[in-house]
Order: sequence, then structure tokens, then C-alpha cells
Amino acid sequence: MIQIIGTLVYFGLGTIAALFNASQRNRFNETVSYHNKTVEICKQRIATVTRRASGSVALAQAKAEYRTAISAGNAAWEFMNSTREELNQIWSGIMTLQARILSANSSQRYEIIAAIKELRSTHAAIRVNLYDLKDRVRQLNHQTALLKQRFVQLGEAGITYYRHLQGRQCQK
Amino acid sequence: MNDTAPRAVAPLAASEVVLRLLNPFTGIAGLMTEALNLSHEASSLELAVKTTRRETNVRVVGVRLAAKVAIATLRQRALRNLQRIRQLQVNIRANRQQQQNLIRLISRATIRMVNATTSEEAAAMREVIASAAELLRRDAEGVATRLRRLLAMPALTEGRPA
Repeated sequence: MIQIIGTLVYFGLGTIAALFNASQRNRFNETVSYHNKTVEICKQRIATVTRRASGSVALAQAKAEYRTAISAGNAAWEFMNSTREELNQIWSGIMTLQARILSANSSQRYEIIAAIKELRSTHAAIRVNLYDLKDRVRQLNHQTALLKQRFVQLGEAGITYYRHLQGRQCQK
Repeated sequence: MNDTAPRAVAPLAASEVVLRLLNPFTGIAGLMTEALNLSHEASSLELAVKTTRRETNVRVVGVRLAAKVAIATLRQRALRNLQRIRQLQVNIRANRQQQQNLIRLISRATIRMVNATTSEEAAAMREVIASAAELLRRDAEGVATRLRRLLAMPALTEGRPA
């Protein structure tokens, strides 16, 4: 009788232990799933934040480069335009002197020719500078156009900025 | 964040429970010890989840802060470059005034040379034209050199599409 009661008690306690074990296994499994899900979510969050941050930095860099390039191009164009005007004025001076050569006496002719020579060499030097700058500005403009196209690849904010630039270009 | 993810444990089958309970020395004790170990590990994992979340928040804040610093640095550099360009534009305009004066001087000297009655006067005008032309050339070269240097600055050449 005692043996039977002892066996029943033992198996009763065993059942309680087994149920406790099962509940702890269940809790452990739920925690593992929660942990793994959290780790995955955190990894994704970090990846998203890093991607967005690097996108913002890339956009800021592209904007800074674009603005600098536009300003530098404008400064160069302004100088080139004023230089072109100067070249025209020097050329008209050369033409005035050349028209006078035939009617001048020999000593005056010598001075006029010397002055023309000076003006021509100045004209040539300024023109060489102008053409060199023109080449550089053309290259800069090409690079700026490519830079503008790069905005499209820089996400939603880049596309918005590109549209804003396009709108401004249309207004002009 | 640990890369080795913990794995779930399989539930105990009834037959296995019975088999383990058949050994009175290790049956109940074994089941209880296992349950307590699992409980302890579950608590550790809960703690790890909290740590992971905290670490993630710190890293997110770090990344955002680094990006903000980088953007601020870029803006500051761009601002400095723009100021440099603006200063050069101001210099170009001032220089233009000076060049216009030289051009006017040349054209006045040219007219006087054309209308000169003596060769001395023509020679003097030639001197004026030569000096003004020389100054004009030097001025233009100076500004062009500065512009060339500006166009070659790193912000306009580094990292640009070829």
C-alpha cells in the first residue's frame, strides 16, 4: 500500500516537474524567438540609419560641389565676358592706328607700327589666357552637368533637389 | 550584438518523460535542474535583448551624429569656398574698373597719336600705349591665374565624375 502511494506520489511529483520543465522550455523558446527577432530588427535598423545617413552626407557633398562649381563657373564667365569686351576695344584701337599708317609721315609711321606691335602682343596674350580659361570652364560645365545627373541617384531628397534645379533652369 | 543566435529547444515527448522518471535518482531532479537552467538562460536572453536594444540606440545616435558633423563640415567648407569665389568676383570687378581705365587711356593715346603733328608727340603716345598695354596684360594674366587656381581647387576636382 505504502509502495503504491509512494509510486503515485513520485509520478505525481514527476508530472509536476515535467509540466514545469515544459513551461520553462516554452518560455525559453519564446525568449529565443523574441531575442532573434529583436537582433534582426536592430541590425536592420542600424543598416537603414547608416544608409540614410550616408545618403544625406552624399547629397550634402554633391550639393556643396554643385554650388561651388556653379559659382566658380559664373565668376569665370564674368571675367571672360569683360575680357572679350577689352579684346574688342584693343582691336578697334589697332584698327584705328592701322588706318592711319598710310597717311602718316615716316617717323610717325615708325611709332604707329611700334604701338600696333605692342597692342597686338597684348591682344594675343589676353586672347591666349581667355581661350585657356574657356577650355577649363567648358570642362567644368561638363563636370557640373554630370554632377547634376548624380542627384537622381541620391534617393528621394536627391530627386527633389534635381527637380528644383530643373525648375529653376526652366524659369531662367 | 552576438552573431551566434541561440536555438530553440524541442519539447519533451511524453515517452521521454516517462523514461526519465523511471530512474528515481535522476528523474525529477534532472527535469527540475533542466527547467531551472532554461529559466536562467531565458532571463539572460531577456537581459541580452535589453542590452542589444540599448546598444542599437547608442549606435543609431552615433551614426546620426557622425552624419550631422560630416554635413556641417561639408557646409562649412562649401561656405568657405563660396566666400573665396565671391571675394575673387569682387576683385575681378575692381580689376575691371582699372582695366577699363587703361583701355580708355590707350584709346585716348591712340587718338592723340593719330592726330599727332610731331614725331615726339607720337613717340610719347607710343610710350603711353606700351606702358598701358603692359599693365593691361599683367592685370589680365594675374586675374586669369587666380581663376585658374580657383578652378583647380580640390572641391571642384576631387571625387568628380570624369
